[in-house]
Amino acid sequence: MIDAWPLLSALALGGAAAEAAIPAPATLAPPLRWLWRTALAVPFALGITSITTFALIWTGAASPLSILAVELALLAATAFALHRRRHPGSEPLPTTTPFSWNWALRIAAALATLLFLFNFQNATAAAPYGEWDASSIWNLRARFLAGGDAWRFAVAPGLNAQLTGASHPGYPLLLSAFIARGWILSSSVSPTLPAATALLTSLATLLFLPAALAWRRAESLGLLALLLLLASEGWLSQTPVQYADVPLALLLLASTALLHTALDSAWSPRLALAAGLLAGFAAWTKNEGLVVLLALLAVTLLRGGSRPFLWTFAGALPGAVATLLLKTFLTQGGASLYPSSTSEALSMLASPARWSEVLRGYLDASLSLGFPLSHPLLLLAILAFVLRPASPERLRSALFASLPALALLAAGFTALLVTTANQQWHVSTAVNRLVIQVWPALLFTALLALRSPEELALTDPKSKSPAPAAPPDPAPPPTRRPRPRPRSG
Amino acid sequence: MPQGAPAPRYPAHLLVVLAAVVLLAFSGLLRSIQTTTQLAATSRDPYGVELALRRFAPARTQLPPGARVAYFTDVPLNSDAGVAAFLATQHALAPCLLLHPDLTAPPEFAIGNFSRPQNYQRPGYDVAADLGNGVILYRRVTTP
Repeated sequence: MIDAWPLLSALALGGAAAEAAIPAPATLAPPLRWLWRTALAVPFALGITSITTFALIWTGAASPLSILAVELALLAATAFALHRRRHPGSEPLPTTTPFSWNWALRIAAALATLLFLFNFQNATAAAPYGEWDASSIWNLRARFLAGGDAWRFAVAPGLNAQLTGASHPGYPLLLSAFIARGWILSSSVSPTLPAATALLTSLATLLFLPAALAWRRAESLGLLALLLLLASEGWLSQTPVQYADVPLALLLLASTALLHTALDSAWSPRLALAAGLLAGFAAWTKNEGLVVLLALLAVTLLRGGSRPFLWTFAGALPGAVATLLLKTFLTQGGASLYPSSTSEALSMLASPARWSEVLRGYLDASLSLGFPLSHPLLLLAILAFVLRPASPERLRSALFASLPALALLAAGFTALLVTTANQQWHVSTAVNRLVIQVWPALLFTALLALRSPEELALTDPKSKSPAPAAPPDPAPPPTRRPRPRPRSG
Repeated sequence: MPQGAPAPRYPAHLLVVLAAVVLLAFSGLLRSIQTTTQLAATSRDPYGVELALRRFAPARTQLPPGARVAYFTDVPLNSDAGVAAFLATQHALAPCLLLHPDLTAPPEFAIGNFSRPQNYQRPGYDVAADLGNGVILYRRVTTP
């Protein structure tokens, strides 16, 4: 219980901020709205409290009292914004008649989530301090950050001790600062806090994925997505390890969902701001998050124009500025894993053996995402075969929404081509992580690109042929409910 | 759904395929659980962090918080075992910072992490305490 209240207070702030930024969609059924709120509270809590805690640590003002005072002030400001908000709901999408077998999918999803919890507990009991990088990078840096004047060791080059690949003093600090915050508040360095954080981020992903798909398309697709994610051994095995990859994957998923909403609607400032905020937090989580942020900004500029771009850019500022300040003023030295000259990079790019090594790494990582017969890519292909692709408009918006995740895969590919570290080692340690980081977001966009079971309802009960492919969103088919009026006041 | 309207019906092949996908997903999840259970049974504390926390607990109480500490060991730091031992020790002693002895000017304190009994003397340092289990606390020799 010692660790519970720092987490709960962070979630209270994260939940209020999430509700102020992106209210739970009015079209979602109440249980899904609850999932949405709970799930989105986590990435907002991680991002906001890690940045404020690190700012207090850097300025030498970190203490339980100062952390709580800052967070209470932010909570009060958020509550004020919520109170003043005149339009609490996003523009709701039309909904179809629910899939009449959703009850069975709900039972399956609940049972699978219970099994996930059992698996998580099992793994954490065997390795309460997480896996290798948890004790040598993320939680170690949290120990320094919570260690008073020793916080600078978290960004000191000496931390590396010339053991390349270990400790990474230049990595962003979202996860470590969030854990340090909990340790400072509870005045104890308990291993249950990092484990609880890992559980929170994993559960948030499992809750957000179905809620977001239910919002954007249909509850049935959301529940199927949850089952496919839990069939992904690659993601499942990463949930208890206490690394930053699962939090990054959650932030990428959430910003992708908001980007997709913006692409399908009128680019509301609120959506653009929130998508930018989450992508900024991604940059504050791992270096890969910077690619996510840049790709999101590029898509926003290309598809939405300058005004949404500016809102997204403004939203990204907290995370981006924190990362920039860390890398500019605090992180000194550190081993570079990349070539120092263009000619060196070009000679690496011209080597077929290096391409082959990276391609093999990506193939192996994709295959190891699941077991052969229940591989999530196989299950996805089966679903694509039976559900069939959605309309070209939907395919296009799903494709654009997937660009940040695809950009991350492409950037990782290029980085591994030109790495100056032992390439085999670098590929073997990095590609699995990249695949885990993008998988929930790609699963989300892949299912967005399909028709939902709801849309395959037989139009005439005596007919065996399903309804034709659904038209684009603005023209609802006859079976759809009338568009609910947005709430006001 | 409008009141009184019949429940929508779906093609039989759709329901069969969805049921198969759900069952296959469960088979994958159950296989993952089986793998985790097997790993958990055979590999507790895989990187020696719990062990290091126990072994270095006495040293932690004797080191000033946030001290820089040199690291002596008989396990080569260029081996996997040496790196793992170094990082587990670093985790156990944080917020003290462990330093590679060859990389820096000798700090006030040093810690020894030894795999077997031996002569624990190290140049420039006095043995301040033998804390058992191969853990030695050193203090820099003071020049008169």
